[in-house]
Amino acid sequence: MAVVRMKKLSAVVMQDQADALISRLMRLRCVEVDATDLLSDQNGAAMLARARNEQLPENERRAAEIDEALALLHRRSQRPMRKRRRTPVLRIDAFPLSEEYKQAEALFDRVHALLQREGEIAEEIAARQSEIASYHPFLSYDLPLGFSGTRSCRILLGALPATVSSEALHAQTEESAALLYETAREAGSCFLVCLCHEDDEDEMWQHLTHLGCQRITFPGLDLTAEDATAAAQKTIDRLEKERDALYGESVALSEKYALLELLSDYTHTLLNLQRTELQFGNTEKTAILSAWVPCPAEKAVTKTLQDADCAYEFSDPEPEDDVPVLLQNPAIFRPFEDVLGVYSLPAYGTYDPTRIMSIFYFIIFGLMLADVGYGVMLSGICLLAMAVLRPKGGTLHLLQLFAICGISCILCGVLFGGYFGNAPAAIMKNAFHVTAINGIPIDDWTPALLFDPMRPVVLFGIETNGMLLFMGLSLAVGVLHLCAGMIIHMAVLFGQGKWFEAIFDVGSWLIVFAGIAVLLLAGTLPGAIVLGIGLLMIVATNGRHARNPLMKFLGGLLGLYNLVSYVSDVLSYARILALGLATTVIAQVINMTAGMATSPIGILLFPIFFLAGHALNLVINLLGAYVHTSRLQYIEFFNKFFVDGGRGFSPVEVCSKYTVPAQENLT
Amino acid sequence: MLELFTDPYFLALLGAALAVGLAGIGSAKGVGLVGEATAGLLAEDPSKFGRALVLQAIPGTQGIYGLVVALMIFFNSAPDMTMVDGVRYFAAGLAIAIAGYGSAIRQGRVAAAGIGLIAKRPDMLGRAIASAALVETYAIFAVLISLLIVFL
Repeated sequence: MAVVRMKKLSAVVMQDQADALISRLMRLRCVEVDATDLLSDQNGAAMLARARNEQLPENERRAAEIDEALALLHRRSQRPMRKRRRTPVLRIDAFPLSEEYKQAEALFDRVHALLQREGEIAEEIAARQSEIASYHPFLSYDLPLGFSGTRSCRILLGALPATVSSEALHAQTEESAALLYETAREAGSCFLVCLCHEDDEDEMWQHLTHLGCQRITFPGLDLTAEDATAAAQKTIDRLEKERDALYGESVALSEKYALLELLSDYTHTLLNLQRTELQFGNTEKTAILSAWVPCPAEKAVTKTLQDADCAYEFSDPEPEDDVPVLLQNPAIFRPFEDVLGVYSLPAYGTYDPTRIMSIFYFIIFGLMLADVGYGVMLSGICLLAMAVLRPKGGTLHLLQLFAICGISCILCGVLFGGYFGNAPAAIMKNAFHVTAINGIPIDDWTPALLFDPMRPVVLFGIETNGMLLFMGLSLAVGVLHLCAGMIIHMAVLFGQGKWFEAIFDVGSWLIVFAGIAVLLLAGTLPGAIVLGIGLLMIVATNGRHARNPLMKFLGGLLGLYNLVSYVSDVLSYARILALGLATTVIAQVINMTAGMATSPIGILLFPIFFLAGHALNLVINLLGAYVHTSRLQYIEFFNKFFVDGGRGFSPVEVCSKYTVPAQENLT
Repeated sequence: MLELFTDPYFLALLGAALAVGLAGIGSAKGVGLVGEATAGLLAEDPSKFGRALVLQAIPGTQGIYGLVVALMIFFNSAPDMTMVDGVRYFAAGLAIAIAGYGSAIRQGRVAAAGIGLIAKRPDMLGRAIASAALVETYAIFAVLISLLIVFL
């Protein structure tokens, strides 16, 4: 349960061995190369500046192209992703020498060419189509479009705004024009052909420009509009045929996308390696590495370094170092680490609250969604998704989190009687006309093991309201949660040797809480004594930083004001009841509405309505439970002790987006 | 017209209508605000849709609380109820109506700002959600009191 301790590694390796060393460290996945140390002195910065890799930009471009090709194959693949066989294994050393590599390269070249050709075809088709559109207004004109006239006769083509009427046009041009006719009016323009004598051309054109005419030319086109359209259309048909053939080919090739996945991961691994190289300081013959290694991995790393003939040294981090943070918890707590990570990792060297937080997360989530039906649905769906989709990383952890929390929902559902809300009672009443169970009227019956928040409860012989009892339970969970946070704070302070602060700033409040608890449960006098001791401790010590005795006393009294923030923290846990009620009430409404149908068709529709309604309710309240359980951790719990701002540990590693790295024998 | 307000059943139903109506308007405004911000984000980076959706759903809860309270009032009311019950249910509806309306809009603005945050720093989603969840506290208190008034 802890933030893993880190060691700083400095190593010197011969230049020609550097690649091999990085490649080995990548497979260990436990070394984060960090050039900050080198940068901090002038020599180091100069050596770092010598690191460069000319191939890097070229490789980056290639990696992007491979990913593009792979994305195309994934899109065209007829085989759904989830039906794929098991994740392929990538052997970094063996892969570039294998037959698979050659096939993957060939496949990539083909797909890359295919992608480029598809792009060209799309452009070409678009160009032809716009040509056809430009010929269209002149379809009724039967001379070649590029024909500009005879020796003494000129032909002008143009487009006028459609607002100019034919009459106005003729009136304007009557005197000079030999022949003027409209070919078409479309797309907000009036297209025309004008035939005039060579001498009149300038005057004619002046008239037309005056009307807003734009000249249209088709230089060197020796075809009529009709023929040109047909020719362009022919080209389009040919291109489309080619495109279809390419599409078919890509669909056929897409069967082999696993090859490109290997190539993609391999290329990205190579990129990782080359980028890591840039973090090395370089002299003429050696490369200098500065890195972070988690203590548990020190042995394995040492062995690798020895094998590579490095000179190396491990040292403890200095206080001013920005040490990366790696959490180490048993597998069951791993999904909860992500909940923590969403807020912030703990700063290096501080307490990692993952385990205690997980326990409360489990309990509070279950109380907010206390329903056996929903718990089964949630866990079931998450397990199914994990089995079918086989996600990695964050998605996997979220599914695991919900699958675990679903169990908590089931347990709480059994305790508080939620089975799709009040479905058992509602079904027995409506479908089987049961009126009473064991003498209890069906409306008052509940399957709850503990008590049902929606019904009256008899507790120690006193009849009380289930809802109030549940509210008390919510607040009690809150008090425990806060106390856990304060005890952690105390332990941390003790660890730092600040025992005075631990006892009087934090411990005193724990005594106050204990006093209140004793007051409520055991009676007035013992409670008042404990409470009094706690309050006295606060008043006596909280003003200790002031010099003036009067200010000391006032500061002590002011310390009591913190009670307000503790009370508001505790009241915040009332949301457990509110969210739990929202779930139950909506579930009951769904059951009631589903049960209203009495006709035969209605009864057939019942299961559909029942399942859809409850699935919707689950989605709505799952979001609420997730957000508000997290919030209670982030605001109320972490507030008590947590030191945030940790930077996550990111080791150099083999890229494993689509593949799993082979477990190789490193010796 | 005025004698309507001396009818307990009318008062109770008015409370239910206000609860679902006002809290619903608030949620609609809140979710709408976030939706507009989301559209801008998606134009730049469609892959953030999932994250944005979580933020957009958050101001929707007030409308659900309003619905829950309205349904509870509705199922507990009858034409022959007493005046005391009628006024109680009206007050219950009013609590979530007012707090739900205001908090949903404010929460929407926080969540919309959160969209801007994850546009630049996707790793900050958790903090954006936590900020928005802070606003919801008051709607939760209101729905708690509304339900306690109805049931106790």
